[in-house]
Amino acid sequence: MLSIKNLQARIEEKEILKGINLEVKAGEVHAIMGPNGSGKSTLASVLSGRETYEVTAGSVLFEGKDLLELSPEERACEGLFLAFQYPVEIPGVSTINFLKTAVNSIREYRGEEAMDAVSFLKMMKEKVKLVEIDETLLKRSLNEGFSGGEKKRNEIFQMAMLEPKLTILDETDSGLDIDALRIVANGVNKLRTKNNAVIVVTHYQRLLDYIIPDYVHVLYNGRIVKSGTKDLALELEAKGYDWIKEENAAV
Amino acid sequence: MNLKDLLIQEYKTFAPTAPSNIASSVREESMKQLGEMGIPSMKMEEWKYTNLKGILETPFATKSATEISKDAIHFYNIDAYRLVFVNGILNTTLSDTKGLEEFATLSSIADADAAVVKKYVNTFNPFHDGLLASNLAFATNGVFLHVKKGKTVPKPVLAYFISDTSKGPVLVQPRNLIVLEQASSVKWIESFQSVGNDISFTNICSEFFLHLDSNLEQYKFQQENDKAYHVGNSQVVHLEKSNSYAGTFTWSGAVVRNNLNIHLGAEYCEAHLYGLYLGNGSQHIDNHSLVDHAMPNCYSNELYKGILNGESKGVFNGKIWVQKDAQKTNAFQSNKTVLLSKKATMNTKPQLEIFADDVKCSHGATVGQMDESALFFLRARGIPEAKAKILLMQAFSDDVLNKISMPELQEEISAIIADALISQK
Repeated sequence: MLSIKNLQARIEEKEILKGINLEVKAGEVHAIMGPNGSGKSTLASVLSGRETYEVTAGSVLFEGKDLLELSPEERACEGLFLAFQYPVEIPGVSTINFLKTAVNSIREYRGEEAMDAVSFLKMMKEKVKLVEIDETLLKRSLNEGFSGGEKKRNEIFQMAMLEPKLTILDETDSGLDIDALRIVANGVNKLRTKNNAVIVVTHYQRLLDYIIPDYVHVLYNGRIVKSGTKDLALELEAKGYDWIKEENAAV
Repeated sequence: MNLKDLLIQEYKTFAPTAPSNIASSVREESMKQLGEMGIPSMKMEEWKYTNLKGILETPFATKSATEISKDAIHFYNIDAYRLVFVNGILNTTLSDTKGLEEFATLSSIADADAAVVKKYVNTFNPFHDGLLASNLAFATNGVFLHVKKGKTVPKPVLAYFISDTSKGPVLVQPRNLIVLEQASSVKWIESFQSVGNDISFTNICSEFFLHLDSNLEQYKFQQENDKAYHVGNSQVVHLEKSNSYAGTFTWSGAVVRNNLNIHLGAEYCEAHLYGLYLGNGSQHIDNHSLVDHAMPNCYSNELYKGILNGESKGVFNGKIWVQKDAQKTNAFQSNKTVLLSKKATMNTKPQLEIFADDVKCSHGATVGQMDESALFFLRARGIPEAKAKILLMQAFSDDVLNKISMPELQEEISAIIADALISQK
């Protein structure tokens, strides 16, 4: 589904990604862990098409298409979804209104008929249950005045509505209490099928107690320095990141 | 012939026929003032950023045909008492005010009672200039609306001011007077439109006088052609416990200057001032406002928002005067502008002068660009860039648009604003 080869990117003059290689297949969950500043969020941003980063080398194929050639909206329409680390607040745009625009933009891109109001509301009511989000929140301005947990739940709700092939959760666990974490993770799990995939970007292991990864990768200094199974996450939790740093300093 | 001389010459033919409810001495004094002060220029502090040079030599016709096809006018989708002025003259076929007489007296300003005119006309005029003087000297055409005591006018009164330039440049100087008697209430809407593609100049003055416990909503919808010049004055005088709302919406015209002056002349009054301006091309939109807190315990709240594209220019000057006696004043002001292009400019100036010591006043002005992170967020959800920008700009203008109290009008103006944003390049 996703094939990243030797991906390098920088922001202004600073090299952040120094050659990332990663293969993600349908049905898989990959966790990308690493200390602060290792390039985790940069990877998420580059994949979603944020223009502040400049890709200097490498390639990314998504379902056979050159992802880097696509605009952010085209990537979304192709089935890529980024759950933001810091979801933006947009006063004056309700979640419902914005999602309806998004759903129909994606349908238009795919050559499908626009969804009418009734079907949209029906779909919304189903998805609301998945993420246990208060429906009245969705009528309010997008994320405005929402708690951290509500914002993250809203991200998963959007994921549910847009039904992406590949979801990237960018530090979705940051700032969440244990209840919110569980709700968010349950939402993601319920949305998993054998046809879609998830990349979980996180600093901590705790989210991986709920979203069980098939593979765990450690990102350090712009490269994936270690890959393993979910046991690697437990090892990192127990030992911290220092041994990774030392190992790589020695190399 | 320049504009000032044109007006002076025009007055000579007008004077013998001028309605006598405004004393000829008042008219002549006004013409003298025009002669002395001339047409406002950028040398004057109040006109520092706004240039009327473009119409100083225009050969305006001050009298022209008033026949017009109904289809040439954009009628708003709202049930209202309707007045249609074409080149300053009331078109009775297109107007319909049936039933209004139960709630208010309506006449031309020329037919208003001389004593009433003397009592209410020109009572508050803090920034006198040559154009205001000219407007008073020529006061003939325009609305006198006298809302009866205790009456709520059930439908808005909607006045269309159409400049038909299809036979050449047109100059009009409407003068409106709206008096609200005790505990009365009215919604007054002015729409400015063009027919034809030539230059027009509208020099309008609307005066509002609010008696005890009365309630006014006034709207200006400005959608003239891209050669239209507009200088508008709204003078609002509040007596005790009266409330006013003013909504000024500008989305076309070449040079637009709105002066909104509000005098809170008694206790427990409230004034709400909202504005939305959309600039494109080489448009110039200038909003000057004054809230004069003359008495204690009054509240004013002002929010103006603008979206400027192309090489358009915006000006905002918001004065708040809190006079010595006006203790316990609450006065708030905010002006926010988004610049969508590198060549658009905005000059904004909050100007607070406070002479009382127990007051709560705040002001803020921001000029910025579109929020890139919000734009990215929407795009990352599959919404194309152009659509995402419009969504954000609609959201930006929403807290001004949602103050339009009539839902059908709110919807229509929001849609017009969205269309205007879409057609911008």
